Amino acid sequence: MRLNDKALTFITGLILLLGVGTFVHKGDELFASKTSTPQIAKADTDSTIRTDAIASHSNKNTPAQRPNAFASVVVTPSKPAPISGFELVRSVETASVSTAPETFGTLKIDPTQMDCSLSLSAKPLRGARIQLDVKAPCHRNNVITIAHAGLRFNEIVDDKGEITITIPVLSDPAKIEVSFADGASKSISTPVKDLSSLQRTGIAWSGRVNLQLNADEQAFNSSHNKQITKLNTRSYKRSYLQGGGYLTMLGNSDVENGKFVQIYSVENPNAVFIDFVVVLENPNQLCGTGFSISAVRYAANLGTQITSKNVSVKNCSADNQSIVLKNILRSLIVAQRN
Amino acid sequence: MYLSRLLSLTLALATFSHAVWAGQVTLKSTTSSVELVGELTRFDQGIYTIETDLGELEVDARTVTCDGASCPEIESLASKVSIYGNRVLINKLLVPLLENYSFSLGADIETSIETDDKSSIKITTKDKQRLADISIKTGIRSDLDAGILALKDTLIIKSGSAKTMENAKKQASVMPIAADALVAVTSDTNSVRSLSQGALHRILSGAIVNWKDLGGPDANINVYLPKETSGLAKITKEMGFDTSKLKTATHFDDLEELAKAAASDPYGLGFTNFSNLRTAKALPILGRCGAFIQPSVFNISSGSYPAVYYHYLQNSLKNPPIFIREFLSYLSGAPAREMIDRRGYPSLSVFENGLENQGNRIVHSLLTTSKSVPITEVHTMLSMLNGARQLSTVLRFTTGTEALVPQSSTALEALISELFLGNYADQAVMIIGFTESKGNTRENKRLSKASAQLVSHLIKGADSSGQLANLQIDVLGFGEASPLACEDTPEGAAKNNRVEIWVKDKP
Repeated sequence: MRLNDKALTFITGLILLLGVGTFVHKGDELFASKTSTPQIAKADTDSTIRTDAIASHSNKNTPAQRPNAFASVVVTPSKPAPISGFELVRSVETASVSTAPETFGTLKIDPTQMDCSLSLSAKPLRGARIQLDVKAPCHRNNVITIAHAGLRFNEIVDDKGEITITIPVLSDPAKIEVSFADGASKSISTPVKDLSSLQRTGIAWSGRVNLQLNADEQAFNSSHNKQITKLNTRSYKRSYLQGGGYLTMLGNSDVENGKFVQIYSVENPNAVFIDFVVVLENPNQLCGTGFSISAVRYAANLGTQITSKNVSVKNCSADNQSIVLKNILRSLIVAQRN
Repeated sequence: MYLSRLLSLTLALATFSHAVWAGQVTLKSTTSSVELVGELTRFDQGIYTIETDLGELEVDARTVTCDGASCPEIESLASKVSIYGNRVLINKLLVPLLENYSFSLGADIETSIETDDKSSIKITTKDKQRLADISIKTGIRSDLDAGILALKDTLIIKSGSAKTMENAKKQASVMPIAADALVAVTSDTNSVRSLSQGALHRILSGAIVNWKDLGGPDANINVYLPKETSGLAKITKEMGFDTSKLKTATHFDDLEELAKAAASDPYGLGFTNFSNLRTAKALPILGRCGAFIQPSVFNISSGSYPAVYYHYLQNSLKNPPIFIREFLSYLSGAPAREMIDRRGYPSLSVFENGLENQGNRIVHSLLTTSKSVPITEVHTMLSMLNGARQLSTVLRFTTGTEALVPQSSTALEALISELFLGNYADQAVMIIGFTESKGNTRENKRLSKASAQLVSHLIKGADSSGQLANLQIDVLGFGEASPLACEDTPEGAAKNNRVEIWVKDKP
C-alpha cells in the first residue's frame, strides 16, 4: 500500500509538472500534437488560450458570435467539405494566460484529416420522449434546426458542436431531422415508448413573437387546480410521480428569427379539464401587423393534428404588457361529470 | 377516393333557377378511365349537372375534367361559405368539427383571426387544391336570423328548445347536431343534492336567499346567471325560468366562467348549460309530482331530462356548396358524433343505460299504479326490461302526426347506423311505446303500441337490402305505465309520449 501510494504521488506529480507546464507554456505543442484531428477553439477575448484560437464558424448573423471576438481569426467556412484547406491563424508568440496575440501568421492544415461528419443518436425515454444527441464538430456554436412531425425549432450547438436535448415526440416511430444553415442535415428514426397513453397540446411559431403557453389544470375540487407556466413547467418526473402535465419549451431565444415549440404533455391527469391560454407578451411591437402560429394536438385516437392560425394584432395600447389570445387552442376535456 | 366520389353520383331532380348550359360535354375522371358523356344542363357550386342516358346526374367538378365547347370556365372550385352564430358554439363545437372533417380528407386548415368575433378559414388539400373559404362571424343576435338566412351560401348554428327547432324548420332546413340542457350547478363541496322546480323559481324571484331553506348551511346563496341578453337566458325563459328578476345575481357573458365561479364557491348556485358544466356539480331538478331525473349525458341525449334543448344548424340553401354538402353528411356519421361527445356536448349518438341505473324510473312507475295502471301491467313491463339496456334513442312524433320531430330523426339515423353495423345483431331489440296519462288507459296502451309499430316500420323501411332480416325486433306498448316527467305542463306531458329502444341478450 505504502509503495503504491508513493508511486501514485510520484506519477501525479509528474503529470502535474509535465501536463500543466505543457498547457501553460507550450500550448501550441499541445494542439500541434493532435494535428490529425485539429482542435478548434473559439476565438474569444475571454479565452485564456490564445494560441490556436480558431473560430468555429463565420456566420455573422448567428447570435453565437460574440461581439468582442477577433474578427480576423474567423475563417472557418460554414460548409467545410468543398474547401481545399483551412486557413488557420496562430499567434507568432507563445500564448500565455495574460498576453493577447498582437500579430498573426497563417498555417495550412489538410482538411481531409478532419472528421466533419454529422452524427445523431436518439434514445427513447419513458413518456414518449426522445433524448437526441447531435455531434457536429464542424458546426461549433452554429444554429441548428430540429424538425419533427412538421414542427421545427432552433437551438445552438455548443463549442464542441454538440447538443443533447429531450424532445416530446408526436409519432411512433419518431423521425427527427436536424439541419444547419449550410445545408448539412441528417435524420434519425427511433421507436417511441408510451405514446398512446398520453395527450399533447402545443404551439409552434417563428420570429420575434414572444408567446407563452400556459395550462390551467382544473380539478373537480377547485383547491387542486394548478397552473403550468414557464415559471412552473413541472418536470416529467414530477408529472409521472404526482400526476398532472408538464410543459416543454423548445427553441433558443438567442436565435434571431428563430423557431420555437412549446408542448404540454399529460399522461396521468389529476385535472379533469385543462384549459390552455396563449399569451402574447409585448404585443405593441406587432401592433397593426400579425403573426402565424401552429396549434398542435396529439391524442392516440386522433394522431397529430396541426392547424395554422394567422393572428392580427389590433387594439394596441401603451400599457399593454401582454394579451391573451383566444381560440388558439381548445381545452382538453379529460373527464366529465356524467 | 375520387373514383368513389365519381361513382357515387346521385340522381337529382333538377328544379333550379341557375344559369342553364346547353351542349354536349365529356366528363373524364382525373384518376381513372371513367368517362361520362351528356348534355350539360347546369354548373353551380362546383357541381356539373348533365343529362345522360342514365338520367340526370350530378358530378363533383373536383373529380373530373370537362371537355366540350359548353364547359364552363372555372376560376376556383373552392366552396365559399359564411357561418354565423353563437361564439362559444362556433369555437367549441363547429370549428373543431370542421377541423376534424378537414383532417379526415387529409386537408390542411388555416384560420385567420381578425377580431374576437370575426375570422376566416381556408381548407386546402395537400396538393394545394382549395376546398373551401369559410368566413365566420360570431355573436349575431337571433333577431337578425331571418336576414342572414336570405344571404347566399350561409350556415347558421343556433340553440333552442325542441319547439323552437320545429318552428325553425318551417323557415329553413334544420339539422340538430347536439343536445344540451339547462342545469343548476353548485360547488362539489355543497351539501345540497337536488332542487325542486318550485325552489328554483323562488330562488330566481328572490324569495329564497339562504341555503338553509334548501336543507343546506346557514349562508346566503350567491347566484350566478348568464347575461340577460345571452341566448341561454332566452332559452331559460322559454323553459319557464325567468332570470331577469333577481338583481342581486352576478351575471356572466362567458358560461365557462360562470361554471368556474359556481364550482369554486361553496355557497354559489349557478344556472348554466350542461356543455359548460366543467367541474361544477349539476343538481337534479325534482318535478312537482316527484319525478327525479339526473342531468346526465344519457338523460339529455334521450330528451328525458326536463330542461333539454338542442344545438342545430340551419341553412336555407336548396343547393349548398359541395364542401358544405359533404360536411353536413359527415356530421351524421359516427366520427362527428364522437367529436361532439369529446367536446363535452351530449351528441345524438346511441348510448346505453341498464335498468339497474334507473331506480327513479321504477319508483315513479310504481307510484303511478295507484292511479289507473294495473300493478300487473307494471310487473309485465319490469319483467321484460329486467336485464335489458335502454338505448338513448328515444323517439317522439310531432303532435297529431306520424312525423318524427327533428332531433328524433337524427337519433333514429344514428340507431339505424348502429343496427347496420351489426352492433346489436346478437341481441333482441325491443321497441316500446309509452304515452301520457291523459285519456283512457286501454286506448293509451293501444296508441303506445301503434307508435312503436310505426318506428319498427321506419327501421325496416330503411333496410332496403334486407341486412336486418335476421334481427329480432319485438314491438311492445305499455301506455302510461312509465312516465318520465310530471304532467303539470304540456311540455311534461309531451315528454311522456315516446318510443324507447331496449336491447337484451337473447335467452
